[in-house]
Amino acid sequence: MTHFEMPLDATSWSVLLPYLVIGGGGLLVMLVDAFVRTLKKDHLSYLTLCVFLASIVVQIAVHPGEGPRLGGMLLAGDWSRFFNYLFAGIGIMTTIFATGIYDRDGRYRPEFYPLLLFTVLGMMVLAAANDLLAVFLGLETMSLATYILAGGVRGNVRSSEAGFKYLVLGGFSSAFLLMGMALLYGYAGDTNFDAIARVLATGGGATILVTAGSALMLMGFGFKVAMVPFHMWTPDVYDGAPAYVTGFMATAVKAAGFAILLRVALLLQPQLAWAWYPVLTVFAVLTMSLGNLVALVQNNIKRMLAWSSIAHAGYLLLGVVTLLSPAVGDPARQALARTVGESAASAVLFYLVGYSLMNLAAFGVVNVLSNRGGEDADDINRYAGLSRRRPVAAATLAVALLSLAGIPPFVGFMAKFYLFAAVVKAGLVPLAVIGVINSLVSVYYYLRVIVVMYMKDTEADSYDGVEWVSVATAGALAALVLYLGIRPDAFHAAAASVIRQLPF
Amino acid sequence: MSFITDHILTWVTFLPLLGSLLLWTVVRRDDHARVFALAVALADFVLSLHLWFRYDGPGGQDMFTEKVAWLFGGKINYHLACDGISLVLVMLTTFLGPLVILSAWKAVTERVRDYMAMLLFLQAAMLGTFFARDMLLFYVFWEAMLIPMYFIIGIWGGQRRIYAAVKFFIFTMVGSVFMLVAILWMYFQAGGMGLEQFLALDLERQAQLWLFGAFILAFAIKVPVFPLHTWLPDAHVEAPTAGSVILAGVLLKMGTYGMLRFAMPLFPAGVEAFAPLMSILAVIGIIYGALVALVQPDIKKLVAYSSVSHLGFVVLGLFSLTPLGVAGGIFQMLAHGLSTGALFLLVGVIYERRHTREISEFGGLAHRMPGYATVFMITMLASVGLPGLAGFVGEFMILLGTFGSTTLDHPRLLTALAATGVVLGAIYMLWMYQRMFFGKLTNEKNRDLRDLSVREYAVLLPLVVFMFWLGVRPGMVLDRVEASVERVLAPLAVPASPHADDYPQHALGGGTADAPVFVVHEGEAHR
Amino acid sequence: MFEQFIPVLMVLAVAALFAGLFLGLSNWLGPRRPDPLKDSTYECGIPVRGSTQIRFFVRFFLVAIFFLLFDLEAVFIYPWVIVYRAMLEAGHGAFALAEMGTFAFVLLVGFVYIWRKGGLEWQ
Repeated sequence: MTHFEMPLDATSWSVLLPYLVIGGGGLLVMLVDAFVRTLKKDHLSYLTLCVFLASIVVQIAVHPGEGPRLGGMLLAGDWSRFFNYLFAGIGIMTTIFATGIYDRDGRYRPEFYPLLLFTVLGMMVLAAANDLLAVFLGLETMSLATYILAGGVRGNVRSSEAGFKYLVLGGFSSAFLLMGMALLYGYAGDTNFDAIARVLATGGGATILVTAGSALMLMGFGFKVAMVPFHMWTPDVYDGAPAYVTGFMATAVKAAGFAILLRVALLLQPQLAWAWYPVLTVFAVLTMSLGNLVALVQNNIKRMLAWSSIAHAGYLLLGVVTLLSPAVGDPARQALARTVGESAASAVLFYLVGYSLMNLAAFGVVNVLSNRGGEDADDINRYAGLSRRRPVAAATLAVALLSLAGIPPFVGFMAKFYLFAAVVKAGLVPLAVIGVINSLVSVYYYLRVIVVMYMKDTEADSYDGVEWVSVATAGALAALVLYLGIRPDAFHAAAASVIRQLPF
Repeated sequence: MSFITDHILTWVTFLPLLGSLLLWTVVRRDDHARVFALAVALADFVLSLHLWFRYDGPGGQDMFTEKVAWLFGGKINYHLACDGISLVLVMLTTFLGPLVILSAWKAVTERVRDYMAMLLFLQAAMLGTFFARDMLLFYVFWEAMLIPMYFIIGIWGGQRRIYAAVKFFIFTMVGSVFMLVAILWMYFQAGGMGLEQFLALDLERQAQLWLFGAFILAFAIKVPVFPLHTWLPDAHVEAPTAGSVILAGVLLKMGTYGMLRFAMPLFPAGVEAFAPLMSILAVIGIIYGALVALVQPDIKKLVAYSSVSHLGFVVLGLFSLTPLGVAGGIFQMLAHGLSTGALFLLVGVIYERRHTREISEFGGLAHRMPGYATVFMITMLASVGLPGLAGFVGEFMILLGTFGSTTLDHPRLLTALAATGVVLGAIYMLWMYQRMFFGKLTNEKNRDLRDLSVREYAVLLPLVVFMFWLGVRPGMVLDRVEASVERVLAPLAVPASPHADDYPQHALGGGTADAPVFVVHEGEAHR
Repeated sequence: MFEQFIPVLMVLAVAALFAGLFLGLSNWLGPRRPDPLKDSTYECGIPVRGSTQIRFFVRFFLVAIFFLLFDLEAVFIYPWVIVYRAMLEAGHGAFALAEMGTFAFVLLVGFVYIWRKGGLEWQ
């Protein structure tokens, strides 16, 4: 009780700085919203953008070094920096998409911006967490804000239903996660990842606790990344929430979930790969297959993208499975552990970024149309003739969808290439075959949207006006999708070096 | 000029892509788009002529090699090169490019800019596929090819264009994704994606069979080989004229090119195991395609099924595993590209005038359109394989090669059956010609048809010239191909033919006068 | 490792046993003579008036939630109080105070936000 580490020294401050910028920025935006009466509609979004940019600048300028900091609570270094950039980037895109399109009845919703900042804060903590407490803190900060974002369109039944459903099921999953953490704490006697790793390495303690605990934690994370069979909320929530929130959830929340899933998988891998590996294999196959099959029959583009995001979670899980595979089975394969783990984890990171880019591009376009077309604006058939009236929007969406389908020369193909290469490298050829068959199935429903946009035509223009800033942003994302599809190497190498910096 | 000639393959491949990007961004008006696209395609053809005249790879080596590290610090490279086989197919592609754009001058009136851009994009992807010597690069070009073709069929096609476009896309994807897994697996065995690294692998028989299966599925769908051909008639019938020409002229050759370049040399054991099956499927394709073509009421469908039949010959030639048969196969690819491409153009010409393709709608056209009838006649005869025209040489070499094959089970039976395909081909073509052009002009609607315009002559005459040229001087092509064929097939270690006395193995290299191979020698003599 | 939990389990088991036992006994032994009055809702002996599901003004919920929120936050002050003396002795008193100050400041911002947004007005 009497021992205290030296509280915040200079290094700790430098670690904390980006978190302080985002969190303080959130408070600032709240206060400005509450006190400045003469505020124009867009001012809060400019302020939010400034906060995100400031967090990026701070991270470029300040390097706190590698390793656990703040009494082992957070992991500083390239890993957290990588995810912080990603979250800030997604946050910027979401802010741009949200600006000017507050909700369907045009009501101004200033509380969106602080909530977005707090969500990002939670994600940053979650991705950098090096302690079970930090995991829970980050996860809950993220989740609570997302519940409100999802249900944020007041007066819209579907949005309220989305928020409510997400809240109830999310609370349920958090309970599982917490129980799992408690068991893990019971096993290791500590909540710190490094301490848990040490106990695991010695092999002492009751294995039943850590097995059960990790299973419960897997449920909690599985819920966040929409892993089958914990995916039930996804279509309703993605459909009900406003499109810019859906885009945010499908990319940032998923990335945060996979960040922590990767960390925990790496942490528990030596002891628990035997338990996680078969379970995750089944879940990964189920996730991508169900996601793709159900997406085939969707008529609402947001539901279609929701199911497709479930399928993509399945591909990503394949990466986690690959990561775990060398620790299972004969010792000869364990020699591969380092290289396979590295290529699998870096493939997952690359996939997350590529997926975020193309999904945001798609949702950027969907978002613009979603707010301009009345009740059934998200019906795929309403997109008929889009290529004539909105050539840039249609081309952007087409590029995003082709990329999601994994067709070269777009980043979606390269992401799948790196991922399946890692899978094959680990010797899991059947899983790779299942993966490519799945991406084959997905081609059909992505093409369907393109068919409607480019090959069907209607007389009437069913969407009035277009928000050109959003379209231009989405177009820029599409250009990035193309660029990273042709020159992915430098970026992939960066992802690999991030993985190499990890302690385990 | 050295900055072009030093990177000639990159220029040839990406000039059309650059053109399509400029079309999308800079060019605004439709008539400008047409002229611009034509200029780009012609420029690309001129650039590719550099390859044609400078290629003298000793022993059929790759030339003009360009290699830049792409992924994983040089394990996967941007590696382009050109050998004899690539050369002739590239020439075919760049030669058809301007003609195709010219053919769409009047036929396409909607979204001209997009159409031209798609054609150029497609050309770039096809050229890249022929030049790529890195498996991942090849795969990227191979898949990228789907996108423009999908849009060309889906936007500018006929009534059931969407069905045809999606079917085309899905069929091709089905084949190629398994190839991707096979490529990935081999990548970790070889430690790199280079074709030469793959060739250096010494794989177990069982692995070879699996891998060969994965590769051959992708290529067989593209060719298409008999039971996998159902996408082709749909795609052909629904595609606009230019799309059909490119599809028949170049795209189908991707499949046979892939077999020759990748599937066969990489997996000798696979070839050994599958060659009998492939040759039987090829023969079934020849006869089936011809029989179905015989009963088609629609000209375009007839030509589409004739493609199935002709490509069957190519596959048969390749899997005869004799230098003669393989070289014949390559020649047939070229000849088929010219003659079938021209046939689709001719169908396009009459469709533009009458908006129907039913054979029964026509009759006695020769009276109204003598020029059209003449060009059609020559093209049809080239397709049928009349000696002196391009189609004859390839089919004849293939039949000879198959007859002398030592690896196939019943070479003589297969040859005999394939030969019936030639006869059937003559029947359906001549019968169709007779119904369309001879007799009295009965249908009133045909009374005012115009003969070919200057532009249409400009599109068709180059093709006709080359049909004659290749027919009388096949050596022009075969000289450039033969050494590369031997080099590519070296891993297969084809056993000496028991009929070596009758059909000299050295025929390709320039043997003594033996009646069946005189065509080759004539080419030699004129060199 | 599990041995220390055995007493807890025993307490649980005994509690469950007795609860079940008495419920079962009263169910088994008790006489049952239902009449309309006995079947009606029990309202402290007074006859029931109106529906049990009456609507409350939504402001009540808001106030309840605000109360809950700030009440819960106050709970966090307890553990801080417990370690505060120890931190003072370790020479980190200012830091400990600053931490609680930050916490209180964030709460205050939330409170001000509610206030300015009109969350506390009864209309």
